[in-house]
Amino acid sequence: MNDIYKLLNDLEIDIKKFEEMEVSEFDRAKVKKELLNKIHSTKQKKWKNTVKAASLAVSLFTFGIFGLSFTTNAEEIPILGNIFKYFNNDGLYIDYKENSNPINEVAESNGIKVTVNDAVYDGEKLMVTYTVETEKYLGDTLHINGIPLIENEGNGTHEIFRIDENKYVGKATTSSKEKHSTIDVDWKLDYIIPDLTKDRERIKGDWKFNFQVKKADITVQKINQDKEMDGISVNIENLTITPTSFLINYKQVVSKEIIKDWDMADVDIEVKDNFGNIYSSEFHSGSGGKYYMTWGKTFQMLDPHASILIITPKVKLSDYDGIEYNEDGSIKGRYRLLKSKADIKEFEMDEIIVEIEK
Amino acid sequence: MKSNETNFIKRLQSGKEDALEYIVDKYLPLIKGISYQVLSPFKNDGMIDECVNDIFLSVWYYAKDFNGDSAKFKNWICSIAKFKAIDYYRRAVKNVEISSDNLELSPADSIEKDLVRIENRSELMQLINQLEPIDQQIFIRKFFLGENTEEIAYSLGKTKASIDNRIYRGKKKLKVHASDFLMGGSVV
Repeated sequence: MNDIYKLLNDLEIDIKKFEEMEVSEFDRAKVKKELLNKIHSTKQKKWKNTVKAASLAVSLFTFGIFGLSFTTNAEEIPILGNIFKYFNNDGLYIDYKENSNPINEVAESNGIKVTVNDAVYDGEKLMVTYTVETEKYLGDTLHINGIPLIENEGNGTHEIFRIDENKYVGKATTSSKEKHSTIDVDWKLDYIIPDLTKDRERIKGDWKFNFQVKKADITVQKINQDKEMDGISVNIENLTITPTSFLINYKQVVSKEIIKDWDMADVDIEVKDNFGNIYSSEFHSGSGGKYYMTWGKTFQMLDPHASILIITPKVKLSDYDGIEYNEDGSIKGRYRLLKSKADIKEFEMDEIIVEIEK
Repeated sequence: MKSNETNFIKRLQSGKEDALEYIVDKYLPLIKGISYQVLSPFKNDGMIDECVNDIFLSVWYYAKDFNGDSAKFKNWICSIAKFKAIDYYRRAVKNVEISSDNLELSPADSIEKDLVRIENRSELMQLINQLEPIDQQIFIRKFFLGENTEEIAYSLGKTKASIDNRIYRGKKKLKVHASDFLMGGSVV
């Protein structure tokens, strides 16, 4: 397989369009120095074993490829301790950090140091965040074989991002069938595969972890209730309650007739409780296609006395809000994809009543 | 021995550091110009510097993937610069979008988002490798270099309509494969 750098060999671009920028001798020297430092650090750096993992937790780092360097607010700058922040598509990162058990165990082998930072267990799912530091540059991401096991069983996945030259953060998620109040976690990494396309050899080593995790104060309740109206159906899948918020995951299915006239169909949900409190919310995830979408929404803290949630699905049919990029990278406006003249249409479905399991 | 116009590629490919210094001397004004052109809306010099460093490091680490003479090298390093700068741009825009509204979650453009999400990962390259050479060019130009249809049509000497058509068909093809990959996530 050809990687992008190889494929770019065959691509002729209009170089005349690019303009040189004035660069001082100082700038040149600075770039060279930074580059050589990076290259050398990957060649020669020896691990400083004396650095305790705990002290890493408060050290800020510079961001490489992963684009979080553009946060404007000082308090939004993530510190290593809150790796959950990198994986905020769960919408749970803040709550999970608050409810997680710090582990801070380190295993080092074959030029690769793995630190387990935090673990959180909600009764079904175990999430473990970790940091991987390598002596050599290994590419944009890594593949790790070996999942943390809950009482010696479970299936799971890894998500890994590179955050600095030779530093990655990852989150492993394992699910177990049985519910426990405290679990014994064993994690043995069999091997690591670097993402560098030309060098996909397995790196073997001895990285083993064993630790215990208590069930966090998080409950997940299955709901599985449907509503259907005018060619759109909604399924409320589950409700997750944490000490500081609650989350609802739901699906929408859109019929062909709707797609013929509108290029976008979105279902939002509004949530009230039996005291009439209306909960403010924001989306934390969304994925799918034209016909089928899954959404995740995070709501503010649940009133502890509430026993019933009233969910109102709100449908919006509209045309396409498209984004295109101009050559200079700026964004080009919106346009309608379909020839249809159908107007924007909004309607509400009947309420879905959910009893909160206590 | 020092790097010069005739030997710098060879020296770069065999990991000689003076070759890296040579290309910084020679191409920094251009690389910085390209990064600035794409990223200036963010008014963040740190981002531009980071992008410039990233471009040179990629050239250093992937030097062996280059194949050609010094005229072709200029084309190669410029296209890497454009691709990296666009990548930084998209990541930055994505972050802005997440905080401002839910536009980026709209279903209609999800295939682009899916592709961007796996951008620069081996999965996307696997997808692109399955396309015909002409479609590979079009997709790399569109997704990696951020070129619009007119520009692509111009560079390839084709009409705008035929490019649109190829993008449409290519996307359909990729969508099938992409959903397979996305279902599997990054699991190994």
